[in-house]
Parts: sequence; structure tokens; C-alpha cells
Amino acid sequence: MTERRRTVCFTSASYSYLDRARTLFHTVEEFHPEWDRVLVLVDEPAPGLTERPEVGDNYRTLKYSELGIEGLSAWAFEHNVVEMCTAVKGAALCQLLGAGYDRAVYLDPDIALFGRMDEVESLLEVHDIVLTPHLLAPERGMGIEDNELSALKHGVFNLGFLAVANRPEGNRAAQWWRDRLLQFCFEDIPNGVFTDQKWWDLAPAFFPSTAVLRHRGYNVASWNLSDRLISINRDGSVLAGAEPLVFFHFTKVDTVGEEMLVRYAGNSTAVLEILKWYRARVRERAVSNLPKGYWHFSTYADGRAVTREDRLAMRRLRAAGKNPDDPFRSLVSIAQLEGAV
Amino acid sequence: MSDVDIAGREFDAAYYGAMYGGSLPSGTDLLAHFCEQGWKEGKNPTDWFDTRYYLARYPDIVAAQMNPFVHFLLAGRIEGREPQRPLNPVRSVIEAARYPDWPAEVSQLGDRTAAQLLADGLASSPRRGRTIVSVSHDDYALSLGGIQNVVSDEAQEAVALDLNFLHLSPSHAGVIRLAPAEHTVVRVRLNGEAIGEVSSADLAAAIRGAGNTSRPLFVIHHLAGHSPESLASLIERVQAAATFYWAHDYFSACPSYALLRNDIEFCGGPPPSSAACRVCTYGPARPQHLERVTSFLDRVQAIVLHPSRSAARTWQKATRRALQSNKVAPLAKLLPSATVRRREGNDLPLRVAHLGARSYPKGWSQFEALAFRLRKDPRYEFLQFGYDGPEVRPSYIKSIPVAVSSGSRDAMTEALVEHQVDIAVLWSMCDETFGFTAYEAMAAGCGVVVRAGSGNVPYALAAEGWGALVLGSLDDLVVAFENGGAIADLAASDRNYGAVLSTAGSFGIVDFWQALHD
Repeated sequence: MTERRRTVCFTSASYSYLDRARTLFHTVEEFHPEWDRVLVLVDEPAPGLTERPEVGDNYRTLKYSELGIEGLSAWAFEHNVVEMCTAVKGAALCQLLGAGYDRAVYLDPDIALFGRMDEVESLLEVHDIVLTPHLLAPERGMGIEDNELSALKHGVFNLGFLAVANRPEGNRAAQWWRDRLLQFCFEDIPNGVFTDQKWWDLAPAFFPSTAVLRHRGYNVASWNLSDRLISINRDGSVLAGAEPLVFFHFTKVDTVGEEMLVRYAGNSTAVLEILKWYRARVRERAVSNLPKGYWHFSTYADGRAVTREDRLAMRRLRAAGKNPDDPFRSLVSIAQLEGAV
Repeated sequence: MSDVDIAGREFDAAYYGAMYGGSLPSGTDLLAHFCEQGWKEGKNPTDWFDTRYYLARYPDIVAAQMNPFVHFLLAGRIEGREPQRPLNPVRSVIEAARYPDWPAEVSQLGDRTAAQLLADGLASSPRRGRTIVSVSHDDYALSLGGIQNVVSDEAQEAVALDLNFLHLSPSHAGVIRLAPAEHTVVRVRLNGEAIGEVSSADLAAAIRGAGNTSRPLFVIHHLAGHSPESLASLIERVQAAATFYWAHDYFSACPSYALLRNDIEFCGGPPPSSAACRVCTYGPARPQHLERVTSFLDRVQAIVLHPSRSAARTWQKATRRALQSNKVAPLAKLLPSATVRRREGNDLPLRVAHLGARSYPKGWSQFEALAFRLRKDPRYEFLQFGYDGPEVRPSYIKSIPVAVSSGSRDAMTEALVEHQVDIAVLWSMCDETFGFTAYEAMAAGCGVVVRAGSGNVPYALAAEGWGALVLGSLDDLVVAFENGGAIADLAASDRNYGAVLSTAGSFGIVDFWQALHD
């Protein structure tokens, strides 16, 4: 019989994804009440927004500023919202393992559980790292461009999920990831970098105890849906292919994501039903008083937008050894400042 | 070629006129209107092209400032662009599915005048026999449907047998869910006369004060809109001799009375704790709903009646209740006649019909898809017989309004005969408990194409020896019609006309007669 382990499940989100993170954590509590739950919050509250967790929230908050990242303001300035939310994952993982958890499971905020993750727990008995690949089988037709080429650009594994055991190799992997993300967590596909995700292509070579989870019920999304069609059956089961659905990854379902799901759903309406269920859960957990598209790091202190050019300029400045104290307070855009220097 | 030339190839003037004609001067050239300004106003040229959707989905067309329909016909279609939201009909059904809220209540006292009227009506009723208390989900005298027809039949039998017929319908019509436990007000009709809204307490008092020594009999045809707890209390207070409960659908098992998960797929009623129930919009309400109905059935020791064996089996699986005292009682019989069906005039096109409203559970979405596919096929003409509701009517399906009411029970059969329908497509998306349309189609001598697994319908056809074409999916349906051989054979086979004879509901059941005379 397995010894009882202390597991933490964490996610990383800004306020605009808080409704999804809350939905995620409600499903995590439903199926794994024995896991602790931590939100890594990569944001500051908008005026009028309460910072405390609201009633009904079932997780602890770990702020981006509590992760021990040096030169925080300038570092944050380099990253857009996706880049920063993913960049903190490594540091958060190390901190949680350092706090004494036996296992850490990361899940993206736009994921929802439909069953227990028993296979992950079994794998962690023997392996230090568990990853789910974007694809488990070669594609056909439109899928080659949509999915295979995409996996080559964005990473073999989808880092909407990661599980790490607090053992020597697991810790080495966590520290390696943290270090890389502090330096190179950017959307820079031509240079082989895609945020936090593409790094893990190296993992099987670096860390022999990496396990690739091949159960089709894990991390189902539009990019692999055609290989594991969702069915809802008379016996009440919800399957992905032939396996029970464990968790579904609802990427960008408010925009292009839904059409991608429909394109790959085949004739079945099951995906549409699950999508409706998910949208209703997210609506129930909406954050009140949140301005549309809000993110604290998207503007200077005086409200001017921080542009991509500004961010790229900051990366060049930091690479050259310059570390501005509080670039968000600059009255001149950083891109201009760099040009002048 | 001009826009008008290109768009004109597939422009549907009948559709455009029906949708937007009301706001246009008569005599307007609809095609020209669409090409000049209609598309800019977001108007659709046909029912399968969604102008607004196309422009929202393909910003390059917006930038080119060209007529989106023209673009689609010239290039978009070949490029694989979508003319409307993919899977739009089913997505609309799923998105609209929701467990209804109970309206805010003002009072539970009912109308005292109505209460008095009822008490006087019962006390002074000339009818010497006992009281039948009939319960259903709406006022049978004001609306149409299979259940309403059964209630009407029972009301008529009650008159013939000198019984008082007291009908209870919900005070909030049209809310398909159980009322809260504390809800006690119902709408009352006594011996055909509308009385008003009366509370449970006043109802009990009126029934007890009727001076009739025989205990009333309860016949429940549907619980939607009622509080089962209030009803059980009423049954106990008036010391009912027996309670008969008709399972005309599967409302006993779930608020989704046809067991359509998210209104879209027949689910059979899996365990309420299942993953399937979890993702269904009716899932959260189901455990309590199921518990309230089963408690009710136990409390009043209901004799449960099913219109077919198939319905009883499905009910048993969905409610997880044993069938010990349940009975099977068909709602009608087919009386074949000796008259052979003959089609007058030309054999083609074959007339293919959908029987019933243009609603998803009745298979309308699939019939529409079939008709759309074959709209230019000279072998077939497509018709819909039934309720002519507000849903858009496609130009390639002819609508024949038919209302089957208690006064004109044969309206459907007569219409099918009058229009010489060759093939009836019976494509219910759920388990039909009985399937009146199958009987009507047989009585009208139609060849039948039926969806496998649609509950009692395939069994009813087989029981009558009616050689129907049983198919599994929409793809199979389309292929069968495109190939045509099996369909032509079906249309050409010899069939007799007949008549549908209703069995007068509860009055057709031995146990009911026994209870009546106890």
C-alpha cells in the first residue's frame, strides 16, 4: 500500500484568468481533496479589486513578489502576460518543494478535472518527472500543419501539466527549469524558445527518470482531440478515446479555441457539451470589478501602455548589464530610453 | 458577371421575403436589395448562409469590402470556408439548454372565490359517482399534445360514467420542473369548467365536503409544475382509494423529461453521480428531483403505468426502481382496413414527411439536413405535418399545419392521406414511450423510415407487421435516399389504410376499473 504523500497542486495566473483558476481548483478539490492548492498570482489588484481571497476560494495565494526573484521590476518589464505567468512557474516549483511537499503538480488555470489523476500518482512512485506530450500519434491532413508542426515550434510536451517528485533528480530538474525561466522565458520561436514549454524537450535527455504519460484521458485539447474523441456514454462515463477523461485543457475557448475544438470534434456533440459545462462554471466564478483586459504589468504607472518594443529594449538593456530600478515609473518609454543610450 | 448574377444562382427569394419582407415595400426586387444593401445590413440570402458570421469569421472579406455571399460562391466554398457557424443547429440547442428557475411566488393562498366555487360545485354536482382527480402539466382544455388527448379522453369517459372529473394543472404554466415542496396552489377545472387557482388545503376541504362517500381516485399524467409533497399530502388528506401514475415520459427519472442530456443526446438516465450527469445542465438538480419523485411514488403507493414495454424497460433503468407493480397499457391500437392504399396521379416525386413540430427531439434537425441535401433531387418532395411554430421554415420543406386535438383526433392521419404522403420519416432523437405518429403513419398507409433505438416506435411498427426501413444515423438516412432503391421499394410496397383507436387512457386498464368499483 502506498505511503501517504503530501501533494501540492499549483497554478499560475493573472486576475483576468482568476475565474478559470478558481474553476480549476474547485475541480481539483472535488477529485483530490487531499491535495493542497496554491495560486501563484502574477498581478497586482486593480483599483476597487479586493486583494484578499474571496469567500468560497479554496486555495492559498503565493504572489510573484514572494518568489525571491531579483531585480523584480525590470525582470517583470521584459515579459508579456503569458511570458511572465509561465516564467514564475520554475521558481514557484522550487519554493514549494523546498517547503517540504513530497510532490508538486502544476496545472494551467484553463484546465478542469473530470476524474482522479491516479496514473500520475503511480508514476511518481517510480519517476521524478511526469510530462504529457501534445501528440501521441502522427497526424493526418490539416492536422500535420495545425498540430505536428505546431508541436515542433511550441514544444513536444504541453506544460499545462507537470508533476515533480521531491527527490534528487526532481529537484535538479526544478532548479534547472527555474534558472532557465529567469533568463529565457520568452515567445521566441525562431530562436527555439517558447516560454517555459520548449525547454522540456531536453528533459528526457537530461533527466532519465522522466516519464511520458501516454494515457489519453490526460491533457485533452483541440491539438490532440482527433486522436482521442470525447464520448459521453449510456453507462455515464465520459471517455477520451477508450480511456476515461481525466482532465481537459480549454485553451483560448473564448476566441479561436472553440472553432478549433469544433473542427476536430468529429460528429460527436460531446465536446460541445463539455465546453458549455466549462463556460457555465467559469461564469459562476467571475471576478467582479475587473476591467476588461486588465494586467498590472501592461502599463506604466501613469497608464501608458508598455509596448513590445519597450519589452525587447529592456531585454537588450539587461543583457548589457543595465538593471533599471523601476522601469514602470519611467516617464519616457523604455524603447526611447534605450535608443538614446 | 455581376454580383446579382452570381448571388442569384443560389439566392432564396422565398426565405428572404419571409425573413425581411415585412420591412420592405411590396414589389421590391429582393435579390437586388440583398446585393445593394441587404448584405451590409447583415441580412442572410438563404437559410444556410449567415452573413454576419461570415464577416466576423473572415476579416479579409471585410477588408476587401465585397459581398460575402458572392465571395463564398466564387471562392469561399472551394477554399473550405464555413457559410455559417459549423454545427450551428446542435450548438444552438446545447447552448439554450438549462434547468428552469421557479418563478418568484407571491402567495400560497389561492383564490378564495375559486375555492368556494369548487366546494359548491362538488357539493352540488349532479354526478353521483366518485371523483376522479386528474393531474397533468398543463390545462388539457387549452393546449395540444398526446398527454392532453389522453386526459381529454378520460374526461369524456368520466362524463359517460357519471363521475366527477377534477383536473389539476400548475399555477405556473410552462415551467418544466417540480415546484418547490411548499408550493400548494393549483389551477382547477371541474367537469370541464375552469374554476381558478385553489390551495391544497381548500382543495382537500372541497373534495371531502362533496358528500360523496366513495373515496376519490387519483390519475397523475405528469408532475411538472406540481409539488409532489403537496400532492401526496392532498392524496392522504382525502384518503384516495388509489393513485395511478402514468409515465408518459421519463420525468420520474430526471428534469430532462425525454432524457436528452443537455437537450441534445439521449442518455438513458445513467447514475446521478456519473460523469455524464456532472456535465449535463440538469445534473445538479437531478438527485433531488429523482428522490422527490420516488419518495412520492412510495408514499402514495402509486400504480405506475407505461404506454409500452419498451417504455417500462427504459424507465426501470433510468429510475433504478424495480417494476413489481408496474403495468403496461398501450394508448392506442391500429385497426387495419381492407382498403388498399393507391396513389393518384404521378408516382414522382415521392412525398416524404416529418410528422410533428419543427423541434430537435422530434428529429427536425436531421430531417432538415436530409431535405437540404436533396432539395434539388426531382425524386423527392419534402413536407412537414404538424405545429407551425415560430421556427424558420426552410423553402425546400412544405409546411402543412396540423393540430391533433381532442375534437379532431384523426387530423394527422387525414392530412397524410389527403396529401398522399409516400414516406414518413420517424426520427425521434429519444426513446418514444409510445409513438402516436407511428400509428398515424400506418393508418395513412405511409411507408416508414425509422431511426433504430427510438424507443417504442420500431417495436410498434414490427408488432403491426409494418415493414419499415430501420436506419442508424443521419448518414445512413442520406445515403438511403441518395441511392433511392430501398426508398422506392418501400414507397411501392402494398399497404392498407387503417384507423387509430385510442384506448381511453386509465379507463382501458383492469386495475383502474377494479379501483373504481371497490
